[in-house]
Amino acid sequence: MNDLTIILSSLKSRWLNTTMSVFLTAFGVMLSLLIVQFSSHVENRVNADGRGIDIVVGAKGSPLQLILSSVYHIDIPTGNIPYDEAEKWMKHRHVKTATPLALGDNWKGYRIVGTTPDYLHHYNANLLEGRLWRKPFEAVAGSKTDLKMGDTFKGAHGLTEGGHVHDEEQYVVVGITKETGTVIDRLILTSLDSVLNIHGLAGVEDYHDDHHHGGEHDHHDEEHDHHDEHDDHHHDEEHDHHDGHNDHHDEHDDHGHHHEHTGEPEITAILMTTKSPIANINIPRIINRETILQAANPALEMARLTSMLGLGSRSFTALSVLLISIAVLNIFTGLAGSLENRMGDLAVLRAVGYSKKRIFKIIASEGMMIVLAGTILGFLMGLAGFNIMAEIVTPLGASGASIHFTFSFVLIFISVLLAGFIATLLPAIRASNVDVARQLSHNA
Amino acid sequence: MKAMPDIFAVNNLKKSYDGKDILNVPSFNVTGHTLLLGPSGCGKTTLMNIMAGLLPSSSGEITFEGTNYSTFTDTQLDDLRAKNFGFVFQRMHMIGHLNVMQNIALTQTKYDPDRIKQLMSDLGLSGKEEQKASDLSVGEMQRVAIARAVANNPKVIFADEPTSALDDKNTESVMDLIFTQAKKTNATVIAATHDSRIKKRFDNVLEMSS
Ligand SMILES: Nc1ncnc2c1ncn2[C@@H]1O[C@H](COP(=O)(O)OP(=O)(O)O)[C@@H](O)[C@H]1O
Ligand SMILES: [Mg+2]
Repeated sequence: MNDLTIILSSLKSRWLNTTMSVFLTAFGVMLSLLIVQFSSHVENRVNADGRGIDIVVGAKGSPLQLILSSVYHIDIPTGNIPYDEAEKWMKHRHVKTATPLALGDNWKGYRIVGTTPDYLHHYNANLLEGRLWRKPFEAVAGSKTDLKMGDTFKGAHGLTEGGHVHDEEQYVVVGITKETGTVIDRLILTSLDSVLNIHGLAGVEDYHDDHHHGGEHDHHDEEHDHHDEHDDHHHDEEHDHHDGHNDHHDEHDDHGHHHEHTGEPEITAILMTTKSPIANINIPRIINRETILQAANPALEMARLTSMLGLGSRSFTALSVLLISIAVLNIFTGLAGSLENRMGDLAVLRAVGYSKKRIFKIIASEGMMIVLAGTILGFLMGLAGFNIMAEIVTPLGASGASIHFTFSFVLIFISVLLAGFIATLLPAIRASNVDVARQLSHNA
Repeated sequence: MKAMPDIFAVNNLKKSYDGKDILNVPSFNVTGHTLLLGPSGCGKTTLMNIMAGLLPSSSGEITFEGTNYSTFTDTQLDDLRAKNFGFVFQRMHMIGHLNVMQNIALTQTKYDPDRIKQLMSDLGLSGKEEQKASDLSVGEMQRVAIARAVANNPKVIFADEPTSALDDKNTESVMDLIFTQAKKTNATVIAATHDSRIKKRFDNVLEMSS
């Protein structure tokens, strides 16, 4: 007769312990998988999206919120900042590159980001098809946004689905980016002016035009790629002129739906790279102390965040280790506890010719079947759990969280199997050394 | 006249626990159905376990069909038992979570369900194939134990106190069943008991005393 029959029958005869051990193992495995998966996801996103950004400048508020909203696009911005004020710092002599961002709208949850082509360059994002925006309301869609070339859509107010729809203006998709594995994949990019205009603010270029050049729209469309230089030669003459309008930045949310383009231009944030590590420290210090703006260091803020998350994930790790330990102990007590009653059975098997090795294998297999079933169940539960969480936890879904098979998976499986094997070892050895003569002549 | 060696030949066999001899068999040969008869504690079970290769002796020699197996390794003994010996244990020792068929099949080195079904019908167990052993009556267990002992067609059937707990009627019927099955496969029965009621069925009787 097949030993598997004996093993399964025995497991079934103590099904309560068996199912409990299987589920405990499964929960432990599931939890460790989720931890590994989420921390590797967070780490990947933190690294890919934050790469090369030295300083983020935005409205005062929580520095972490500023970083999360403007670098990772998972929180709401701290507010808006006057463009003139921002421009001063974009031109600072220790600033190497500065990419302005204007947030405020979304399409089906994908954030519409008014920016410059520098933003694409920063992430080495190339176009899969089409071209960059040239006119207001032309947009370049990220590879994962469900938008196709030529699609038209209307932005909705707010950064999550369900805001007021800006009925009057319609975007048209003129380009699609190649997949980059960064936040770009899930953004819709357009010119700064598109976003500013739709919220009733003067465009950055309009703004200059209105005051100095009087309607040279064509000129600016052509020059879009060179906007940095363009900004350059207006900046110094202008900024004094606009210093008095700083208080406008809060009105954006309240009065953002009319289209008179009268408000002073405001943006949400600037992503900067500097020319020296010293500047990384000095520029934020000056900005935070002497201006209405806030500057934050992404590396610093994310280190703070991951150490906070790390604390959380450490307690989850402890919990999963605890669960697996309980499962293993449960397997051990299930085997060892039932062994007392089974010694007679095992003596019979030995008497009819089953070798010690075979008895060892039967008992060890009982434990390993539980571990294996628990591991497989835990793996499936982990997959399902991850997908459900990616579905309901918006930042995870928005950041494109998906299961990646990493070496840690293998490590989890090996350690669980090993722990299970150790738990079965003692009972199996004891079982294989059953004193046959004594058990059989035992008078109960 | 005998070309064949004796089934068992025992020479100067001794067993002691903690320096105290509890068994001393100078010379003893098994040529037919044999009964080890004697009062409780005289060493019947001990001798039987040694003969069955379940217990090592302290000294002396013991052969089965001419082969000295007192020096066999564990696995050699496992093999010897699996191929040649069947057991009817005093306490039946059914494996409770297995069904009747499975309990009987345990002893078969090659699974033979037809043989099991034939045995079950011989022993009046037909229809109980799927029943869990733990749910059987004592009488049924006794018969399953006999079926299990002979299912692999052993050369020797060991039975330790097969009838001690039974009344006269049941004693006769159990011994009938054992000897009927033994005859069919030409097996030798070696039983140990303090119950002289069954003495008459055996070719040889080894009277033991403590
Ligand atoms: N493992 C053991 N350790 C010590 N003494 C034992 C052991 N097994 C049996 N004995 C002793 O050996 C003697 C013979 O036992 P046993 O062979 O069971 O007798 P019987 O089967 O004739 O009743 C008894 O006195 C018993 O107490
Ligand atoms: Mg006895």
